[in-house]
Amino acid sequence: MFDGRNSGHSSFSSRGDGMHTPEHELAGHAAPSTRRGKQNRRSDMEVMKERFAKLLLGEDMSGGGTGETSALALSNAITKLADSMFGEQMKLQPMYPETKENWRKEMGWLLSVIDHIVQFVPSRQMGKNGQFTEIMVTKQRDDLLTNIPALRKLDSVLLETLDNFKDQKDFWYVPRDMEDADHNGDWRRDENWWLPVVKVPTDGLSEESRRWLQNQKDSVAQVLKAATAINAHVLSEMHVPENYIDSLPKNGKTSLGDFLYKSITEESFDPDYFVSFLDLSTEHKVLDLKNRIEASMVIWKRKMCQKEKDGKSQWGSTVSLEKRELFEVRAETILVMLKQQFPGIPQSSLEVSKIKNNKDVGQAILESYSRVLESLASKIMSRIEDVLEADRLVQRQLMGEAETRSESEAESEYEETEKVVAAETPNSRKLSDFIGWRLSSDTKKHSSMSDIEFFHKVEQEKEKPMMKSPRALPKKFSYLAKLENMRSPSDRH
Amino acid sequence: MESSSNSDQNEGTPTSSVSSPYRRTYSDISGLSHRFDVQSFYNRPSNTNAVVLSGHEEDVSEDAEEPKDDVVNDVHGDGDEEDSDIDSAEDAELEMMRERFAKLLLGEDMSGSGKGVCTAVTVSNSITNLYATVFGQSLRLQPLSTEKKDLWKREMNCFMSICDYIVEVIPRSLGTNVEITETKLRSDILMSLPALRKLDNMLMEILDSFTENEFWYVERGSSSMNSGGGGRDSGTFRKVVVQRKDEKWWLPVPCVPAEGLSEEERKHLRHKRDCASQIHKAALAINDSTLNDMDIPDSYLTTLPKSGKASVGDVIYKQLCTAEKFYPDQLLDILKITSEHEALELADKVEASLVTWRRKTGGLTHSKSSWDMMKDISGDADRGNDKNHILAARARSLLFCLKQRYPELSQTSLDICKIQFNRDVGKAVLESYSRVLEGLAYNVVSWIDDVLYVDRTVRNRDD
Repeated sequence: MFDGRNSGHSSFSSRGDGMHTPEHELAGHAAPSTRRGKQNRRSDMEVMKERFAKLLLGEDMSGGGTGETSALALSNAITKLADSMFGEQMKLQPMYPETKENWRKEMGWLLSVIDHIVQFVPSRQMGKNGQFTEIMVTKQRDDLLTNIPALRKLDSVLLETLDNFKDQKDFWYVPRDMEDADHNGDWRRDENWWLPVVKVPTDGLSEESRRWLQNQKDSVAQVLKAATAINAHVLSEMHVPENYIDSLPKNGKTSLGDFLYKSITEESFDPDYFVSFLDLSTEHKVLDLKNRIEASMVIWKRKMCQKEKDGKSQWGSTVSLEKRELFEVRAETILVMLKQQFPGIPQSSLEVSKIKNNKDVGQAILESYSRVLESLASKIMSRIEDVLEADRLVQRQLMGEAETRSESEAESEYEETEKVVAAETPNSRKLSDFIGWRLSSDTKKHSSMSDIEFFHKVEQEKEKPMMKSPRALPKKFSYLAKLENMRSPSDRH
Repeated sequence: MESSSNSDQNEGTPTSSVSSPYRRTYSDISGLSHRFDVQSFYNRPSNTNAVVLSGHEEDVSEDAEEPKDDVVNDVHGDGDEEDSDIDSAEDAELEMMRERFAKLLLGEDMSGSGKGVCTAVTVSNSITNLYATVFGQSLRLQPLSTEKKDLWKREMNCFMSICDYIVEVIPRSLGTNVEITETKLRSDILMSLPALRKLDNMLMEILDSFTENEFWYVERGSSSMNSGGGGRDSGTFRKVVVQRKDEKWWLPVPCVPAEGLSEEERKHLRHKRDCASQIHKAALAINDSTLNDMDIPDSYLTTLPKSGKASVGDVIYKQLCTAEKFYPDQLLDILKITSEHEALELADKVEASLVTWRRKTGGLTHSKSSWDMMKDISGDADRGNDKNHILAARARSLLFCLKQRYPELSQTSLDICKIQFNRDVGKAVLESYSRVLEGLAYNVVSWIDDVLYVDRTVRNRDD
């Protein structure tokens, strides 16, 4: 029995080897072109052996087989590698060359696993007699074929952005203790206590510099959007683990709590009005809300599937099928809004559970790689935002000192600036994010209903521009700053 | 009298089959299309003295070489090595190792969806498959080709390097009041892996020693065999081709000069045979030890019948029960086992009974390892009167005797089950490595015995 089994594996493996050709070697994937000494080469070999050996053991040093699956081991390895490479990146400056080289090399090793994840597809081959014959050839799995090059590209863009800050003179950093000594007081938020303080010239940034920084920020924002979209898509593709389902209460009402359940199940439902009444004062509360909503969505989905499967009469249920579907759409709408408003929120229980129980190696790599790029992009955006904020502070001081300007004129100009910022950023982000999110929706019907909700929300937004902006901005800054900690499933730490 | 006795003993050995890992290469061997060089054979100079025939040895493995190996070969062929060549070779090595590791992580599942086998089984299968790739077409007493040897060393180093990171944490005292913990290589790996490496090297050296042989090989079915036979009658040729037994139809036929081998060659062959035999015993011991240390899988336990008697059958059960003293050798003689297949069937039954009786005594808790089981049997002298204890002890001695009598027995059902369900990576490496070395050593012994057999046949015929 064992012999036969081995034979099968052997022949299958051999055939796969023969057919597969690595087609997706990218520049970052190749060996370093510069010649290096024998010493370094041997060191590469030893480091790679250690990395892979520990992956194979699933991080279980005893070798007893109680370690994690390959999928989870790879996911953790990518997360830890990113943390060790970027954890110390607190300034807008290029990475150290050695650090960058290590990142490319070790990610190259980890990503090389996907070169061997393939599927068989039919292909036509010209025989010797001129006749076509259909044979099976190997091709890289579709989701990897699409997303890995994209993630590699996003990776390059982020590193290039940091490289762009080489030799810049417009701003600089001083350690926090020096800053405290100068001012005898801290105007910075407490959340950033460990960051060095960014300084700009006493007359502020030049208009050119300001424009250039904004340009860099926009570029990184695009990367963040793309990485977030890929991460969300991969997570949605992962199976909901059985142990997560087993831990759920029996109905959505229990999960949401009375207040939320009543609000969502009202005849008329206004998501903006609903969100305005929620207590979103701490990260923990937002995460808890996210967990509850996701749990109720899973419960409702499962009940709908069961109902369709059983062929049970609608009238026999407490809540009809259509209503439950409506509730699910509303819950999803709120979830999307939360994710827009708090992009740095830690992963929900469902997401953590999916990652920990996932066994698909390809998905593990896609999810972890997109997540670490998402974190890096957010971090860079925060750093750029710090510089722009320092500049705005100086500008405000300058305006206050100007004798020739009237008080009302200055305030008026400030208000206009605030309006422009408030009007532009939330709108553009929400619009594109919302549309992007829809693409991963399960059914067309959901999309259709969500579109209606979406247009309704836009109308609401136009009517109340002033109410929204003062509340959104401070919280956004607050939570963006928390991205200093690399995002990863909380249970893992 | 004495020579007759030796003849009987040696004739028995060639009838044994090769080890189980080796059998997987049948299909590869049947595909061989190499033919003996007839022209070269006929043109051989005729003289009364023995002539070294190394030129006639064909390296059947050459066609199986992969393009990758050429890079390594080029480097080894260069007398003056340049830095660029070294860099190129080492880059290639790094790349190959990376590919090997990547595939191990996927657990033989190319879809990457996580349906592959666990790491331990993956490593075990990989070592077994590597052995088949490197040694599968090695059917003669001759050195392994450089490419195959390098492939074997490189890939085995890759697999064994995983064991470098399997450790256990132990406390160590730095003084009266200071104690720290440090990591140490796991004890079974620390002991057995260097031993296996040593056995591996010794086997390579034995094969390397067969470079200027007095004997040579012809392929079975070769036209030269018939011609040779005819030639003898006509008096044109003095070489004799001895027909071998059919049991090893796939092996090439060894040939010796008409007057037999020289005493020196004979001595050399016997010495190498003894070495290979010792290696076989050592590898077998390590393999048995590792298998015994593996837990008995639940899936095996659930398939056992309720009584040990049902497994082993009435005849054997009666023998185990009634005899005042139990002599396993005598029982095996009585049973008149005629084939290895029968021996394996008996081993499976006895082993199943052993586990069943052990469970009944309460000594076998959930998935207890066989070692603990063995210790319980020998340790519980006070409960020697218990029937199940006696039965278990006797079953164990019978199984042991059976394995001694048939050293190349295939794996029992329990062995196979343990290997398939094992999750321990270190044990997977030790078990598979010792098993393939065991198979190779046994093959070397068999091949040497074949040559000695032909030699004796030729000399007896002359007398």
